Amino acid sequence: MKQKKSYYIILIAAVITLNFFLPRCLPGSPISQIIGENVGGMLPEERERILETYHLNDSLPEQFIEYIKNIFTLDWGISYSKKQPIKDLIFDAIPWTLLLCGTNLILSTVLGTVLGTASAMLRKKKKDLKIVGLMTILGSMPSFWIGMVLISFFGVKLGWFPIYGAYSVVKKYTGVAKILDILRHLVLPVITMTIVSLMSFFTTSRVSVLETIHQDYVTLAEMRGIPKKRIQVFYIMRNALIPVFTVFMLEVGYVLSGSVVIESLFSYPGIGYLLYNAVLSRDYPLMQYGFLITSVMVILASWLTDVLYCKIDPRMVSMLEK
Amino acid sequence: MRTREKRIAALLMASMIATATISPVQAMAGENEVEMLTIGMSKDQSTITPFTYINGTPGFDVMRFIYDSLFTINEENEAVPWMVSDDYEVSEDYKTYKVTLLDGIKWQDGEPLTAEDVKFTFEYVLTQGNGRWIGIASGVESIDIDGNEITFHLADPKPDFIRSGLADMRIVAKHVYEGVEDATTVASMGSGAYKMADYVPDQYYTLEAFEDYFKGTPTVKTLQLPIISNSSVMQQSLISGEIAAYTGSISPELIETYEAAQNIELISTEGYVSTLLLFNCERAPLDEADFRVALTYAIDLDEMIEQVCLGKADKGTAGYVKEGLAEYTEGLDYVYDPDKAAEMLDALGYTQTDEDGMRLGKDGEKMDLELLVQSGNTTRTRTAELIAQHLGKVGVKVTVTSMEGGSVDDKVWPEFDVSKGRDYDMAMWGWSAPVIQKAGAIVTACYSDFVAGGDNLSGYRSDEFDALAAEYLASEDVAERVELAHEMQTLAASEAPFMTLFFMDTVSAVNTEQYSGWKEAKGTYAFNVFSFLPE
Repeated sequence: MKQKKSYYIILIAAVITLNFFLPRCLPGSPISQIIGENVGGMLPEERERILETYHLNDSLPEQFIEYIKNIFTLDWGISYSKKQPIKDLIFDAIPWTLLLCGTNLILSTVLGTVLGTASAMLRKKKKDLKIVGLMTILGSMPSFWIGMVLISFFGVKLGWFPIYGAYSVVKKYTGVAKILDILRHLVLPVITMTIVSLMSFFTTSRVSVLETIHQDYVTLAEMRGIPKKRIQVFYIMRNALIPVFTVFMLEVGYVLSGSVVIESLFSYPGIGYLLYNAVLSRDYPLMQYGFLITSVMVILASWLTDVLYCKIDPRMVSMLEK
Repeated sequence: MRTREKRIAALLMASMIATATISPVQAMAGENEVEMLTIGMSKDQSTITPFTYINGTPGFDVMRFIYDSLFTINEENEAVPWMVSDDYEVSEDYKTYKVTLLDGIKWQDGEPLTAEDVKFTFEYVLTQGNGRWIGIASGVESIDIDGNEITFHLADPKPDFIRSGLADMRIVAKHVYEGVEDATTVASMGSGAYKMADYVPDQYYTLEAFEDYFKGTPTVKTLQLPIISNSSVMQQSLISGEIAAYTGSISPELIETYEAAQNIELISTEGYVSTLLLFNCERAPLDEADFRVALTYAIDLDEMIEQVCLGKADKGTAGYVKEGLAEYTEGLDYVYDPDKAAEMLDALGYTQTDEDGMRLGKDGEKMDLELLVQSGNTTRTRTAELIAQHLGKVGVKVTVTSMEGGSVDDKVWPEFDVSKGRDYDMAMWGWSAPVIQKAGAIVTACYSDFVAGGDNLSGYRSDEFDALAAEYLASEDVAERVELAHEMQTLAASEAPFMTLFFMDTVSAVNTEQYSGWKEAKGTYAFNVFSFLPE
């Protein structure tokens, strides 16, 4: 376990380093976002002055040391493109991403697992084929396209749901009306995400249940005359869900990273949308701290998975030790 | 379906409908005085001050609602007095401009706007990094004020100072900016028709009518500007009535859709945003002027405008300056003549071809020119594909490479400094309306002095052109300047450092049920400040 901890420390150090250097490897300069469209009209000395003000003229090691220092002092500075404190931008976006991706995670886990298990239990029957066929079609659709279809049908044609944003910017609701308004805005993006995410839970649970069904202990339980329902729940599901748990925990890590495609499509103000815009604007500080937060979250989720795995399946302790 | 499944489905449906019962508030139908109007904005533009807005559209367009200038560009695309009286004076040598500030103009925080603020603005912008304002203010030698009278003394004659200077420079408040080292930290507050009431990054802006505005209280009390980054969603929002209009022009292929939609009207005006094909004049074979000219003969602009712009554009000319502008030169139209293009290429020595009929370089090696295009821009992408097709017909192989806008910028205009060189063969490009409309635009586009020729992205160099450009900049005679501009355009046309393809019309789609006061303004969109001013 000690060795495992050192792995995580190395991983975090690598993430911190990469988050600094990768944005700077992108072609293009952030100066157009700092100054605006008239950057071309600047005299060379004016351009130099701006670069100096934002420390973009400092050597990379100097910038890196400053960045490391700022991580620990939490002085993350101001976004180049939005002229707002980076900490505020990131922490304002996180709740929306948690809401969207968290809801999706719960829905896709439950639905995907239920459908996958049902499909495995009904193997070789017509219903199984229907479920597998439907899931294959849904799983092969690009999320962008699904989103556009939902927008056109439920948003424009039927007018049931708003098609952009996380809440109404036109009317300021309060109390229950505000919650309902947020839910209305959540419906289309979350359905789009769930359709896309279902497949991994569906296939994992289906394959896992199918493998478990053929285990000797299940056959023995059937021979002992244990009721079918009891076998399904305690003998099959209990063991078959371990791989589903792995997928779930991996997805937990991504909950904070948001979904760039879905958030951008619906202009949903989560972390994915924020970072996507930061990349387009070459907003180095926003990129580096934003990606740092999301990367650390993924690592934490991975660590949590290891810990919980050992609790759920004690055999893992000896495997990890080996 | 079993009963239980039916129940679940019904429950799901009911919950979806229940959450859908709250409908967004819309403006009152068909009136030109309304409480609130929702206008889609394509991207976040920071805090929208003269020092923080990012792009011309939508940033500068929205900033015009908040910050005023002494003169303005009116609906007819003319520079007219705005914050100053009509009796302004311009000296014969175009070096002195005397204006009188109107009485009763206020800042949005209630303070009076004075001539001191105007003087301060022209001095303060020089301490900040915005090239647009520095370009204007650096030409002003001194400013005298006497009560409401303001006299600008210019270092050099500037016949277009009203249009490119006084109608452009946004006046900022001395009591707000004085002593502020970094202007980007100051919140938005001007003297324009609307004040910034709220800004949530990446989500929305709220503009509220400035009741004490000197031209009268605007007709719409609140302009809500949600940021909708996806263009398809923006279009759908307009059709569904969630927004009443959006910033920017609509793509030509959407015209039919909007024409069929209820309550949506199209407002089309002449546009000044250019679409160019840049040639890298520093890289073979494009370093040969005749090669570049031959390519211009092979490109059919009529077909391009018909196919890509669906007829909604004006054809560009080899003279760069658009017809109707002061320095426009007649007789420099592009001629589509692929036979002549082939003849010229043969004469230049590009006679050998490969197995596909594509011309080889003079050294017998394969010749494949790369054409860069911004991936998010469908009009430019289609244009680039058509160019590749047209040039292919005369045996010039062109490969279109689509990449993200910032990456194209980095290859064409590294660090936005033309002196840093360039790394491309050909590229799709465009200049905004102010760049095209300013006097001396041809100088900025082709002069090899990279400070005065800040837009010379082709790296074009010609001693003859440079001599004319230097003469133009030194001239104090307007007529002589126009004549020199004609000469420069004629020279540039004969050497084709770039090809001016077309100027797209600006077409706005607006909801007339929600608001009926939309005004057409040449060169800009229906979402312009004139649409919201009282008669």
